[in-house]
Amino acid sequence: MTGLGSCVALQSDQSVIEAVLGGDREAFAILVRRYSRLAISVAAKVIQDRHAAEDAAQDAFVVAFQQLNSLRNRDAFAAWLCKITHRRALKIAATGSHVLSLQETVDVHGIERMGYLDREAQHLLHLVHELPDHECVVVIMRYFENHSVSDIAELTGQCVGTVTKKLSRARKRLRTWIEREKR
Amino acid sequence: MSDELLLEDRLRELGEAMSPDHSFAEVVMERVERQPATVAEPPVRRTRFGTSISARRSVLLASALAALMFLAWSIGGDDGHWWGGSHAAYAQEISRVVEQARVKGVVARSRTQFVMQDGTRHVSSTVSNYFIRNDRYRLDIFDNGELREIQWYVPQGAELVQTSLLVGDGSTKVDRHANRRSDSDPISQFLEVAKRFDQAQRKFGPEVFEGKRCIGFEIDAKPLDADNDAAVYRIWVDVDSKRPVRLEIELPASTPQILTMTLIFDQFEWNPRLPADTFTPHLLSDVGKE
Repeated sequence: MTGLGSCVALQSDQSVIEAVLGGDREAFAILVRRYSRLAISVAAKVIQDRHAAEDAAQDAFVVAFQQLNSLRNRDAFAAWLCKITHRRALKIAATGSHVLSLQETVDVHGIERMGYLDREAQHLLHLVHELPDHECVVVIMRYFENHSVSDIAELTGQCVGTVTKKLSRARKRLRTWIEREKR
Repeated sequence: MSDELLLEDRLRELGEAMSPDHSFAEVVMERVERQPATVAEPPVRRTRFGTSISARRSVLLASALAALMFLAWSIGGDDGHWWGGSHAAYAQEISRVVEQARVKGVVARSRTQFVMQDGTRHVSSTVSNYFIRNDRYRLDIFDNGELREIQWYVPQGAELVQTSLLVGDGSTKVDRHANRRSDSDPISQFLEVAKRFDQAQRKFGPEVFEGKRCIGFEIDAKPLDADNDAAVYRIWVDVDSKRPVRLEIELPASTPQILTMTLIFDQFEWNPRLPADTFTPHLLSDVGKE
């Protein structure tokens, strides 16, 4: 595990959110550390500039804090954060001349303009975010954040079997897409 | 190495590339510290009528818009002294004119202002209200200018059917509210308010809202509902056009952190032309802006 997420292990998103809404804003740091890679990856799919992607992710966390009381399903924080981050990244991409969308970069500018990820990595990131939201979130928690399956289950309020199935389906989907593109 | 393991390794490598800068969380938390407190929505509270706070909000919203529908035409006369008469005269006139109402629909903007125990003020999401008299209504809810949710309230038999669409993920939810009349009939609710016009009142102003010089009236809703012990209506009317411009409904809040909450309605349009599907629940092809 990485970061504070491992130290405060296993305080579910729901209980963290309830603490924040109860006035403990410091608890929000748990969510920030837990989902920073998720948010950065969402932004990086849209924005090639590393720093701009982090800025978008940070903006998204602040917006999530501001609007936390509107989140109905508190176990769905990660998917909700993805949507906020994506919208924020699109706005930055739309206004910033130094950032390029993945499509523009791959199709127009070639590999030398692809920022800090190589072409394969950028493409894999794109495929990960093509997964259904619930699969994308568990893939990122498992492989980006290095959480165990049982931790993911506890953090997101799902049972272990469900998380395992989602991971398995996601990997199968990714392999199929990659194979299809090779042919 | 199998394809499966290769894929997992590539995913882990990709995750490493997504590692945040060491100050990432600290920067976010510094910004969070500068934000107003985010607080839980006030819990649902049952009243002696069996309606919830949110249902009462619907009632108040309905009453308020009905009041403004009425005012929109009832004070349209040319005598210029409508607010110079007695409150009893207002009440009598209002009751008479409400029965002959001609205003069919209204569009308005609303939001809720919270005054916290520490004196700070915060404003909720903004809502665009579309309201058909004595029939149906729709609420478009915006966060920071982006459409978050649409709620349609459409009568079906004795029930009021609420369909909610979360724009972000396209999910929908249907709730059925019994006792449709008590929760959604704006005219009967407004008549109850109108009966109290002769019991209150204060006048304010002139004040300028939306570039218009306005005079305000304050109406105490306390006699309407013993549980609703501090609701106060304030209505501002344009002294030139004699049309209502702004409405505030002040309610006591039920959480320790909040001192008062005030629903504020403004930017009114009367009998607007609306698309035919305004009140038909549907998925949006284009996400609107506030």
